[in-house]
Amino acid sequence: MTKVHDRVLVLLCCVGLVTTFFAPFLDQAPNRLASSTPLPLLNAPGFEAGAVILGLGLFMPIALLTSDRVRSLATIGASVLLLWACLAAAGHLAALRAPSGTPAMRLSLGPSFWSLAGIAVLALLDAAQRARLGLGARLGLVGLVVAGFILMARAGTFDSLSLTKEFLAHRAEFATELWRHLALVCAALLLAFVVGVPLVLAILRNDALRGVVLASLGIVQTIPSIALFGLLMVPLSSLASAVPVVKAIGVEGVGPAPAIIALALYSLFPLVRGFTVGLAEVPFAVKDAARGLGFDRRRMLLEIELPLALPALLSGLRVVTIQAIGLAAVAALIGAGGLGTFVFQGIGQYALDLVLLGAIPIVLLALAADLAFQLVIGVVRR
Amino acid sequence: MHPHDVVVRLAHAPSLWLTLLLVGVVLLMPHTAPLFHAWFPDLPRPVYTRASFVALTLAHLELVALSSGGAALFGIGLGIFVTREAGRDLAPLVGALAAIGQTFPPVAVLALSVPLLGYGAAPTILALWLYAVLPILEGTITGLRAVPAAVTDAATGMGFSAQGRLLGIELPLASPFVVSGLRTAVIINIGTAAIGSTIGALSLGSPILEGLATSNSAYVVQGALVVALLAVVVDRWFDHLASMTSFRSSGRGRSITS
Amino acid sequence: MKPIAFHAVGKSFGATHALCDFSLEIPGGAFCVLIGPSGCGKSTALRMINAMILPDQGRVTVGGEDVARLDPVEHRRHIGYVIQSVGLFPHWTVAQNIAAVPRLLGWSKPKQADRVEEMAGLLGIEPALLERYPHELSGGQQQRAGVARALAADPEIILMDEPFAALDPTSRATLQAELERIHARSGKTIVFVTHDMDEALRLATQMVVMDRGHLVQSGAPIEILRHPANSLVGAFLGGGSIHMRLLDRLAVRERSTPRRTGATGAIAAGASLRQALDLMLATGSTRLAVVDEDGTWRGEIHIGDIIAGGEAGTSDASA
Repeated sequence: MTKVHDRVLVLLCCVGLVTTFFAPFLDQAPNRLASSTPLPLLNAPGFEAGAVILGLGLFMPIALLTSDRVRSLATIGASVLLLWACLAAAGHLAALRAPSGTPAMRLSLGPSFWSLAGIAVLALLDAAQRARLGLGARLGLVGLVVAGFILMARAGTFDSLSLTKEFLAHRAEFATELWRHLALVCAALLLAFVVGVPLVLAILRNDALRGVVLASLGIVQTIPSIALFGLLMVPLSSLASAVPVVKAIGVEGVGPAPAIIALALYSLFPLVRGFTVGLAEVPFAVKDAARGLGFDRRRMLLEIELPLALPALLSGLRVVTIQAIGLAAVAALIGAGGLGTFVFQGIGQYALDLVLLGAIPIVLLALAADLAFQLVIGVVRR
Repeated sequence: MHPHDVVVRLAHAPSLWLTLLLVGVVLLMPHTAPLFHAWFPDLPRPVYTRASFVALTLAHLELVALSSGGAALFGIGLGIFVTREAGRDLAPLVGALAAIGQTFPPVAVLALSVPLLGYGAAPTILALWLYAVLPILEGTITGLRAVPAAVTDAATGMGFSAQGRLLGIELPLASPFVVSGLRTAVIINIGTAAIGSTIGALSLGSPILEGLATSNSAYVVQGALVVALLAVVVDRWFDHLASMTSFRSSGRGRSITS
Repeated sequence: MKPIAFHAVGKSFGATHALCDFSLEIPGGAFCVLIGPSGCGKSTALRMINAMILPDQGRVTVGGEDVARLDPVEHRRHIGYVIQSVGLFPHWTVAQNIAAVPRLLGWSKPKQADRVEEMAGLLGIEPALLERYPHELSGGQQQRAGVARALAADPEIILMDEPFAALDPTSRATLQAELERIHARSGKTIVFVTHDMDEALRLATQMVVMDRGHLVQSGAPIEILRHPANSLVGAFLGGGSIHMRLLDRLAVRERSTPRRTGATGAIAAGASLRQALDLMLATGSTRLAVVDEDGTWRGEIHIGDIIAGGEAGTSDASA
């Protein structure tokens, strides 16, 4: 008697099959403004389409496997296959449908592609968690998926997709805006650190001040990003026109200055809170023993309190970094540049692939930052 | 409680004063032309008039309320489902999804919804809904898991039905976590709804974006001021809600009965 | 050996008086146990010795020097400090913890390593444990490491604040025995806070009974057992069982007489009178032969010697 041991896989498989047959895998339009015709997966070359169906279909027999470990590893294999097959099918279907000499032709990734890719990623995540893979194995898995993607991209698999066309058309700009985005985030984090560390030291042994500082920073945290950018513009532009020195160092009402200041203000709350909570959670007995053994205040802070507060500080820094990567996108609205430029430019011009060109790297940056911090926190916690 | 005490309490509650301030600012905005004219003498039209601030605020609140309300229903429902016997298989996947989904920047979620759903208020609401589900779901799962096994065990032993236990014991005990998730979701949505103006939804972001596009700083200030106040006011009220739910589960409730 | 002295010390925390007009002299080499109900000020007094708390009135001197005038950090590095919750540094290995003060004092690495090894041997810490982190150790092992850390820089004075209170009875008894041995061998001054009367009677050469910030009575444990200063001390010493505790502190050799009446059982001369009584109850005899460690006959002890000693014995206090 066979028995289903993983109902999640069965559910994912069913959802995948439904979207495969009832939603477009790609959308084709003669140009950006014309309405599009849906292209189902079955229009793709037989080999790639077959691989997608195989990867998805494998979920069913895998769900019947008894051993948890074997099932998780098999799921990882099937989902990597599904993910690669989706990418290849999308690229080759686009190439099939884009005759040369039609540069205005749009071939965009459709709902079915996104669902199938999403299902593959979800199955992969779930299986990696169930298989209790260590950090190294997880990194290896990410590397494997990325390597497949790079190999396909090198071979020109994706060249006919309009997302690739947008990327190639904006290649130089893309590099500039990517660096700008990262520079905004780094500058803001640096500023937050420079302000935050003395602030933490000031409120560390002053409960009343701590309450006031944390409450005010908490209020700043609730203010919508676009509003904070806007509210900083006016005073900064008056400052720049009143004090020439300020203008000379590049501070203006619009541009990177208000963006960096606003991002730093948002970063202060999680940073300061993570820091103070971490320091407050150092057990009293440890501090008492250290004092009794003759640690002076500097050594106490550097050798005892800071190392023990490090995990909490890093968690705060993780939140802040992910948050800043996202909020920096909004900064494009006040002329600070960054990947948000593509997003809002694309929205304005109805160029949806341009929107993706901005949004996808932002998401990937946030995920990469998350992964990196998990790694570091894992190492520190031991 | 004596009526006088109520007055004293409210006088000490910043949420009330901030709410009155917000209502005042929204209602008085059309009459602030002289003020903004004096502040920005170069601007020919110093006050945003394309839509009234009352209409903008209501539209903004509608976006947030519909998306967050829907997200609360779905997120709490799903959170309950995956902590029951029937949905236990889904729990790891849903938990991981809620954690990873929250690393997606809200603006990116909004932007990604455009290719799939198009422009206007409806895609904005859907994007806001999608994003709001995650913290509410995470809060519900955390809250329900934090209910001590001894408590549910005792309830079962006393003869509570599964439904009675959920409604009478587990959900009240989990409510501080659920409220905290809801608070995160609503505050993020107030901010993201303002950016929803870029994809054609009417909100308090509309004057900001028009001001940015036409270099009219007065519009930016007006929109930013109102939406910032709105976020702070809503956050303050969540503070009250949080303290109301938390005294039930912590020891603080005892001082009220004694 | 530096003596420690409290001169009319007073200390208040807000409205509570932790110490009032507290004067005490602890001679060098003493094992001084401060005992009293919780809140009596014993921990406050202890923490004044290493300047963790400074007095509001009066002076605390160590080796004649006013503690308040010393550099507190430097002063503390020459005083061992052990607390109930141990307070090992969780991010350091046991070896690093033990070497903490030698490192602060700038000892060379090899000298630190030698000392860690020596301390591990002294406290019976297995070498394998030295590279572990504190959370991997049992409670008893953690406190061994805590004591080793306090002793590592060879301080003349060691302060211990209820160090064994959180341990299971077996670990507590072993550590008490080792501490007794270390004290006897090194002659260090140990100031020890506890609320456990049996622990105090076992370890102390000088016992100080405190109540609500005042010194109630100070002296050798046996003196205090024989002459409780007031009913409060009597009650704290164990009320009805005070005489049984006294029997615990007195050796058989102090009451035995060289007579030969044909006792059947035998007991060591170094055993306590309580053990003698226990053996009599167990065997049903009222007489025991007393023998030395090497088994040579010394005399006999009769049940009358034990009981008569209770009141009559108070006169030969200096025994």
